[in-house]
Amino acid sequence: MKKIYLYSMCCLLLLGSCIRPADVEVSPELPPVYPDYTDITIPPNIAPLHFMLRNDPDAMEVTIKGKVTDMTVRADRRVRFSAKKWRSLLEAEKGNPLTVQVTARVDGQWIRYAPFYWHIAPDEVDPYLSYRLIEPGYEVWNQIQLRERHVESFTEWVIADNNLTERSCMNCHVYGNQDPDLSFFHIRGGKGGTVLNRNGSLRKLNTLGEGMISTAVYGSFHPSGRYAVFSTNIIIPEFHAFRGEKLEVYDTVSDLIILDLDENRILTSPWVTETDALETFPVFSADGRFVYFCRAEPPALPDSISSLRYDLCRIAFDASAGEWGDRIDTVYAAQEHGKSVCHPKTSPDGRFLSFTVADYGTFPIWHRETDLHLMDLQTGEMDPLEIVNSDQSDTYHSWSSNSRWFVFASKREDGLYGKPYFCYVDSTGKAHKPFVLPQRDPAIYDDLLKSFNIPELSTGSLPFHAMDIEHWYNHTEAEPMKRIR
Amino acid sequence: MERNTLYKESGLTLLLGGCIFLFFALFYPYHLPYQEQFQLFLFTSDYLAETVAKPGGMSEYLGRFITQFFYYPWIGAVLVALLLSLLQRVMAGLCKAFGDPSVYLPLSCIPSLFYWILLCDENMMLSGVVALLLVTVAALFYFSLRPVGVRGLYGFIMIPALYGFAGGTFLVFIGLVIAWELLVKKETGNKWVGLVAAFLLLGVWLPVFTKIWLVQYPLSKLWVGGDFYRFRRILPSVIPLLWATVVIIPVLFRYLPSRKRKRSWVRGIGQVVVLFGITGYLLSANADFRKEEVMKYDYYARHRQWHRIIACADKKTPDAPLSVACLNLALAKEGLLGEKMFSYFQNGPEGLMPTFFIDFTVPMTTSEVYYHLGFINSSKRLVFEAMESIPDYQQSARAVKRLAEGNLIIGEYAVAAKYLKILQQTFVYRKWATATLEVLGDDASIEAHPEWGPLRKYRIRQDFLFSEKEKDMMLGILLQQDLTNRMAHEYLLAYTLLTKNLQSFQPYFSLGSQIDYVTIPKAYQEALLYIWGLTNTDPARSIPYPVSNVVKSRMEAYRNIYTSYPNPEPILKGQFADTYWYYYHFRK
Repeated sequence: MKKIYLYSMCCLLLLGSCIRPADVEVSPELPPVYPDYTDITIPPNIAPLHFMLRNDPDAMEVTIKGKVTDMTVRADRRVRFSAKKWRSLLEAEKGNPLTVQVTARVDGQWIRYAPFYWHIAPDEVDPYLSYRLIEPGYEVWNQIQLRERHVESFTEWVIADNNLTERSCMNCHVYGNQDPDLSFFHIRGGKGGTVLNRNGSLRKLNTLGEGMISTAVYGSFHPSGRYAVFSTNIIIPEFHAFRGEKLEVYDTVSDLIILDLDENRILTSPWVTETDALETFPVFSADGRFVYFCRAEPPALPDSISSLRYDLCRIAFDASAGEWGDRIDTVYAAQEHGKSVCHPKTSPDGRFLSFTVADYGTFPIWHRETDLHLMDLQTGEMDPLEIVNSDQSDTYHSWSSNSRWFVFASKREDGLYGKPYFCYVDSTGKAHKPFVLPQRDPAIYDDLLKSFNIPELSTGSLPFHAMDIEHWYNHTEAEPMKRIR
Repeated sequence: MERNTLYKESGLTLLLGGCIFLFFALFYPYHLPYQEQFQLFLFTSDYLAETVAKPGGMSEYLGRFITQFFYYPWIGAVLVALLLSLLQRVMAGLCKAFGDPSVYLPLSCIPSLFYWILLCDENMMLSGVVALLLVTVAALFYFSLRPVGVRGLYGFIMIPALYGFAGGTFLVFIGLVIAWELLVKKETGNKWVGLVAAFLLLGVWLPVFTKIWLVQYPLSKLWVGGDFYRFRRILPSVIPLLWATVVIIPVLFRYLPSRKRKRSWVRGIGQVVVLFGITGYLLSANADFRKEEVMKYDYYARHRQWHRIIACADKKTPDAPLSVACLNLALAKEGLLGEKMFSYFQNGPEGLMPTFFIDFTVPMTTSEVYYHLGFINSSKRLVFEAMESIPDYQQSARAVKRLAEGNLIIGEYAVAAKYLKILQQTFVYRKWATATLEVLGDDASIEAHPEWGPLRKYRIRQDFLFSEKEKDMMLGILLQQDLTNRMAHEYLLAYTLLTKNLQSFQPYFSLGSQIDYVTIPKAYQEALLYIWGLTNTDPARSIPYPVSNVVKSRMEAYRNIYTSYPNPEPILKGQFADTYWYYYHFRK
């Protein structure tokens, strides 16, 4: 009896997947596709865009047509593609648009929806993505993992886990030049420090130099890999009482430092330390000749938090001499527009400078008005990236090594849980509609109570994993850094 | 089996199960829903895969599956009793495999009694019981296999399987089968030596091999496997001790005299009396009835059973800050805070709005206060922080429900929908989540809801930053937004009274002019009269507020005692402990 039941179920399932549309009703509307993969531009090396329909169909037929080839998939509620066929399709149609036709049976009625398009860009995205997976909490953290994902497939692995490091807080992982052999992140706690992954070894740096206000916080690498620029910050969290506003994090003091990773020196400058101004989010320009950063004159905090606004500035850096410049230029006077700038990032080709803009403050992740902006450094033109931004926080971004793609964290779905979105910037500088990182099961975003923080792209897989970080935490001696005034 | 023996065995199991059920149903019921709130059991394949994909994962999954029913304390009591009774039956089977159990059968109750005592600790997880059941049943099956080769094969399959299912408890299986091979089977030749050595080697190397695949777990954790205690980094030494008893007790039956003597039933009853007597003593020493009381108040607050909270306090006034906070919340919800708050023990502002600190229990209860006051963001923050503090990294169904409610009230529908869809995948909250999803986005329905409607009406409409030190300012802002918000007014006055801030009381009191009090609540009359008396010689006559004659005459009597005796506190405590004056003068 049991066998008959099992066979019947198998047959039903097979039949279900073979059901073809009949008596089809044509709808002028787009299908309720989740994630929103309608009319997007995708890289030719992205993992299959598995999706589902929100109106609970019991059968679906999806036809993808390109200039050269096509593919038809039948499914129930969730559409999954064969990895091999998907790869062949994308390779064959590189640079071409694909037409996606969805026909679904909802409440017994087949509906053919209006088609949508996937434009396959000629440029690939860097194949690896790292991010911090964490609940979007307030002051308390529980499980924190840094993970790396192969974006050409669904393979993902843990590169660091606070379970192995006495539940210490872990900050996000940042690459230099999108190079997997050059990256850092901080682990707090008793045996913590800055994890420096460079030239095939993991070092532990104690970045608290003499007279500094804190250890290194936000930072980025110099293109040479020898230097890294960081902010040092005293960070205060406060909690909003109103509506969906959540957390406000601000600095009472903040400065900039540059670490010389060859000679364990901390290079400071009176222009960016020992001033009353707040300086934060420093990054090197693509050629390494400048440090871009955000700068504000602090009002009385926290009472006047809504008037704390940062301008985008830059200061020169001479890598051969290891010296800061002696002048600060304002690149974008955001305060004049009643805005505050965070997270500047230059594209690797040096053409673009992207950053986030919020109404005020220095923690845009919880500001729903936060949007990404793109500045063309050749023309000085500013693109507010309307096609990219949403009515929720769109923030932290990372460029692909070819400067044609960037990934960013967006809370557009629910205002709380951030997810990584990929955006194409074509050779004319035009940004295209972004799409969320595809998952093996598209419903996973519904059930996941974690945010993807600080997504960063890289050209290869990292040479370490969680066990190495466990060993690093427990057995590596921290190297002191000497401050040079 | 002889009918007589069957009756004896069944009777023993029934006695054990009955005692456990009665204990958890009548004396310790609120520990069960306490457990339930710190997990979020989902009927999804992802949740199953994520939970079982580690040593001890299956026992965790099954333990959590059962724990979800602890939402209903009586069902929880039945399930705990059933599990521990089942463990006793399996133990009896193991004992039989080693010797004649007829005389010393009550000894088979020891692991169940042991676990009964352990489960009085609210951090002891049910997965430990499930894990023990899995390994003992597997061992029982092993004993039924005759050919040594089949046993060897079975053992080789089951040791890794049990490591996966039951974590470190798999050592019990290894211990039992090795003991049985050595003491009972005694195969000829060296077969058993090879078997035993192979089992031991497998047991030792399994966690090391596992570390290669599960890199995110410390090796020490992999040795223990399974989350048998909420604080994952701790394995209480009683757990390995309990594992040892599960092996030692059946082995004892190999050596205990098996020959039946006259009056063996007397011995049996004697053993039962001794074992249950010791258990009773250990229960009284290990059960924490103070925590049980706090959990009871929290349970009633969670389920909005305000009248039950007040009834409990009428029987015995609570003194733990959280219980007092629940009581004050209940009084406010029933409109009695100003009238009756000093009829019960008050421990200052901490018993009104407890201060946040990182913990998974206190903020959960405190969030009830903030939620019902209308500080929705603070309520959300507290449950989120509580959930983040759960030591075994689980989500909290209670917290997720509160986050859904909070976001619904403030109109954050997208994230509310996310939480509700997750709750739809649970057993207990499915119905509520589905009904709530239907009104999501329907502002008219939400505003007409008996709880959400007023909370939406009173919610914060201008932004400010939360401040633990300025709760009166926050309450003032809440009240200023809507001067008919009686609960905000009562909390503001209560906070002022409890902090003995008499200077602010009078102006805050007058903010309630739009609240429809029939008479001024007793505590306010007492405070007003006292404050008036500080600057007026004959307050009873000149006070411009309608203070009752009873309050006036009691004030006179209080004043007489207070000014006449060098140490008036004991006398005043007897007659005036229910007054604000007593609190003001003698409570620190």
